[in-house]
Amino acid sequence: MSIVSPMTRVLKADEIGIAPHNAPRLLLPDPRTVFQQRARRLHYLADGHDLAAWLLFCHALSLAQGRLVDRVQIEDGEAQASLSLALTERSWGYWQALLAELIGATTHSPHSPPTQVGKGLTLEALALVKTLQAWPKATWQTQAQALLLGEDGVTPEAAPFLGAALQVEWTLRASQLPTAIHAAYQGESAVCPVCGSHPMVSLVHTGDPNHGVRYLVCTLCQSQWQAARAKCTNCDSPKEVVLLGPSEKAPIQGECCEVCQSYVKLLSLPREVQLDPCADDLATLGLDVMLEQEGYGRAARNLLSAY
Amino acid sequence: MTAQMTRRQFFKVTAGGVASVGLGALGLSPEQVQAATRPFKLERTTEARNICPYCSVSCGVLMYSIGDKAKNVKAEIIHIEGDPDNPVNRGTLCPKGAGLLDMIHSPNRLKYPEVREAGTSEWKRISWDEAITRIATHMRADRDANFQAKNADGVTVNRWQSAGFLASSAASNEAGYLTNKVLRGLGMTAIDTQARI
Repeated sequence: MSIVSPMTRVLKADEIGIAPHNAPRLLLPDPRTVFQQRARRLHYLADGHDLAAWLLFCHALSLAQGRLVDRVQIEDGEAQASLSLALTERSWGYWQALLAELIGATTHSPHSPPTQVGKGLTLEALALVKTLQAWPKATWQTQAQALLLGEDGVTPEAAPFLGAALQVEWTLRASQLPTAIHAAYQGESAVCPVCGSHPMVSLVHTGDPNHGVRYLVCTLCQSQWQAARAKCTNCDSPKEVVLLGPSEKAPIQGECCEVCQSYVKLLSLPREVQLDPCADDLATLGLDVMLEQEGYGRAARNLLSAY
Repeated sequence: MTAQMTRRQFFKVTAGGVASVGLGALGLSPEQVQAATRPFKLERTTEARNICPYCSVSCGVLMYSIGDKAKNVKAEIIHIEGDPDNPVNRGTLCPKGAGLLDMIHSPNRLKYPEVREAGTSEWKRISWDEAITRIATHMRADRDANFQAKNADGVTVNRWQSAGFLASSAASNEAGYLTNKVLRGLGMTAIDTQARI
């Protein structure tokens, strides 16, 4: 056993005595990379996975999100202090654009066997997209607002599409927030300080200046905000947390709280640097089911999924 | 913030619930979910904060242990790393602190009180009760022999200068307060703690 653990950062002699870096409390998203990275990871994880067809669908969805981001003109002069969970007059446009994007990609490169990797959807999924395209605005509005607020009544098979379109809009909006927001945020929160949505997973970062620092990742706007390690992120209990996973030092574990009986997945980049918050959350559905059986409730959401 | 905090909700994830009929078109059929959620053994680790016991810098550490106390399994610490949230060390540890795990598992580690009686070379294990009683007896004898009620000028000083006390670096403010309160009450003046270095 090595005396110095790989998780521990050893300072060089000339670094000692210098004031340590301050890890930012809030990280705003970069919409140009977040969806591409997610798509790449989903593609990788799908290979040989029991849920390959589902992960490949999410892959196609993420690619469409990435292309949508590239197409959108980022307007200036629209600096807001914070975001809310209300639909905007642009939301309908994002919804329609995403569906069109999916149909466009599929018409160009349809991939019929569901395990085959391509940019598009299966024909079955394509039919579903066309049904959704025919949705009246009022139906979409009710459903999208319910999804934003985490309420019941969202059609399960529509949820990934609704979530994907909302993510694109909110991620773009969050990325345009004034950078002063970074510096000003000092709080601690169970929900996203930028938009008020729920966390998707918590992520331990690697490398300076935030090596080992844990952030919660917003399921809607993809912002990340700091949350102290070894502490339940859902309640204020100071009690130690229990980590449940496939092995004692697994890169993905459920961080479970005995006080509020909830869990949020803990993804450790120092243990596995390739992890993507959304892709790896979707690919570890089995862990969710096991934790649920252990009696813990999921305190996090993934908008690309029905939970 | 308080209004936001009320948005805490639980989201149900069950093999049956996740795969509703419509999601089959997206590759999430009940059969596939069933296949992907074959039960595996969940390994349980506990993560807790602590303070490095070595020196007065008092670096924060995160300690990972296995073994469920409830199931009568012996708990064991399997990993220790610097606590990135601690303002003192921000996740870093010195080489000695980074080797804490080896100290914990060291066969030479002192785990219970021992005494080497005068005139012997053997260390003998004694109980905590016995150890505390012996220390108290020695303190009492030394204080009775050396306590000064007044100094050479006749001024009341009530001090006990022939013994000293070194307190831990990892003690909390409250423990530090109590340490001083008890020892000053006995008249001891040579009190030090690693935390003041």
